Amino acid sequence: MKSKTQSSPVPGLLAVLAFGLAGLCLHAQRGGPAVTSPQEPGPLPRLADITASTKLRFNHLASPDKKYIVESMSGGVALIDYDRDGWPDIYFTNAPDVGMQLAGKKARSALFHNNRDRTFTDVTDKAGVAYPCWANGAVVGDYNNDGWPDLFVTCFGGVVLYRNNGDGSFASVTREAGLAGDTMWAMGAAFGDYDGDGFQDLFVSHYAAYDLHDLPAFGSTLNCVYHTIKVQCGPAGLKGSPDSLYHNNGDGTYTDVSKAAGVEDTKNLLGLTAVWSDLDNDGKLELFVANDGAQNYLYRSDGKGHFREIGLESDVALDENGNALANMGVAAGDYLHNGYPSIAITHFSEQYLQVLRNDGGLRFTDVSNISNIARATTHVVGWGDAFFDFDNDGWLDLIAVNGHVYPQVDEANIGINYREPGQLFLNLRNGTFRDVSGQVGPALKVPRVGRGLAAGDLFNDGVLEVVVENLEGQPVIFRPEGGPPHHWITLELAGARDKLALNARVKITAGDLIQTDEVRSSGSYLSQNDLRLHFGLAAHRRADKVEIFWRSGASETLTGLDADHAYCIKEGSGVVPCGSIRPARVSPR
Amino acid sequence: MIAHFRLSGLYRRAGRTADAAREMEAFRHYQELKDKLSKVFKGRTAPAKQP
Repeated sequence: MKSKTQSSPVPGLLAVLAFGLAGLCLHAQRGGPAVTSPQEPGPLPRLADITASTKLRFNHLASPDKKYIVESMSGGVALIDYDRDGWPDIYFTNAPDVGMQLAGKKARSALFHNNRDRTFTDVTDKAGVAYPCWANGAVVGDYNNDGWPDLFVTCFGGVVLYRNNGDGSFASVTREAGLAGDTMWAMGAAFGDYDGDGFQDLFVSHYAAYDLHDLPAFGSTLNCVYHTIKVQCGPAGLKGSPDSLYHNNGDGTYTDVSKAAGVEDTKNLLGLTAVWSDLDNDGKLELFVANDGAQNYLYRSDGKGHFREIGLESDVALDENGNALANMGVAAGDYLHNGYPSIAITHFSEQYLQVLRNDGGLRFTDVSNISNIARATTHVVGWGDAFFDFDNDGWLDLIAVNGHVYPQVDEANIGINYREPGQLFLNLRNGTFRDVSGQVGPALKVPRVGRGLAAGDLFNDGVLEVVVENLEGQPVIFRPEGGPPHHWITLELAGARDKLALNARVKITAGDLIQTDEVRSSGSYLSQNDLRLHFGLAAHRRADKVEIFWRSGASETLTGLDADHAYCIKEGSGVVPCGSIRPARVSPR
Repeated sequence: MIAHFRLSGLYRRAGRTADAAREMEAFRHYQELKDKLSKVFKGRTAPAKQP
């Protein structure tokens, strides 16, 4: 018989464990922002659908049944100022269905020129970018450092590098550049000078090994069943493909260095959006790769051309419970004002839009729940997303577009719809967001099959538009209208060698507002945001200090820049006339 | 499995790297087992009739 004074070892052990865990949790909270009360903003702008007034007409093709996963994945959109007039133009990818492809038919992608009067004109044929391939995504870089933004398109069965000729046209230089050997199912891509030699290298993520002549039959295995409904097969059950890193040789060609660099993806995961970013502000680029249904990769650079994959130890690989998610779109932004870009990743339904807080030192914390994002996003399939300052209050808000992959869900009566509304989350300036999707007008709530998304100031008036490519039908342009009369500033950067200044970082101080951002190729879902950096300044009429950290290692500080202007800044020269950082137009050939 | 994953993260943040590595190894072990089982299960033929 036990003495009453003798305690059981189990509660004691539990107490020790609980105490230990509490201590560890306190440790874990270090590095996070101090918790403050949410700051409710004033009246919100209305998010208007201005597509019709822009005269932009485009239709993404789509098979009605989506019997194959390859028919559900296209839809990247790129903002590219291809004529360097300072007004962002728009490129939409397009893709056929399997039947069309096997019959030799093509889908027309499209480039729209910004007319500087809030309308666009289709210039696709003149530009020569109508039929790159079965196009999935598009990103912007400058592979030959001539100052003309080039266009890179990822395809089912290859990639296409379009050289900007500087005369309003493009030429495919895929073969000359040494990229024709990339014949896999390419999805994500990103330009970035990882070795600091002044030339933009190129990463391409690949999805699955997929043969149109040997397709997994619709509904054939349990991998092709969703909530008891027969659907397309995959991604579970598909064999993934390795990724590719191409080093820019500086002479207009690339060399595949994937294996030597350690980023070849030996696990053959299903790669989607990839982004280069200096996530720890040490001057060296990290590479983040979102993998569908598997762990994300975070590659840490040694600055000499080698990388180490640290996704798990950085806590960006899985969710907070150790589950691999269907990672698709990637947004990066300093929404906390802690000086580091955090990451937001869109996912499949029954998962959630994952917010990974960057705590510095390449340590991240999944704050999806405590930031109020998870609960609002578990019922949708998310794709394109972006941190963008919706109301120019100096704090990055978060937008995401959604849309399921299985049209069959509409007929199954399981409470899930194929078309889904988009979502907007307002930054409450204390590490949390509020879902304001229902408070910004009806446009965002219209159910769509969203895919790519890109944010930028299309009309150079200090308001950030959001361009969305839908898998089915017309794209949408959202524009915040009304709201408080906040100030803003836009910076167009040009490096000494890299004329697009990719991955240059900026720290801007306006009174008590201190924001950071970085020029990035790629983002969202297989898309490209405006390469110019935009900062909302709230009531501040000037930026007191603008610090620029160039990829070359140089930095410079500018002071007293008046608000409500766009500035062009050249490495080593400060603010310059924009004409001096943009190349002179070439006469048509 | 979740416990191993979370413990690994907590140890890492606390600077206890050896403990973190041990827990991550345990997590990976169970994750691989889970993945193998999942592949076997999901590769089965779907039921002929839809409900």
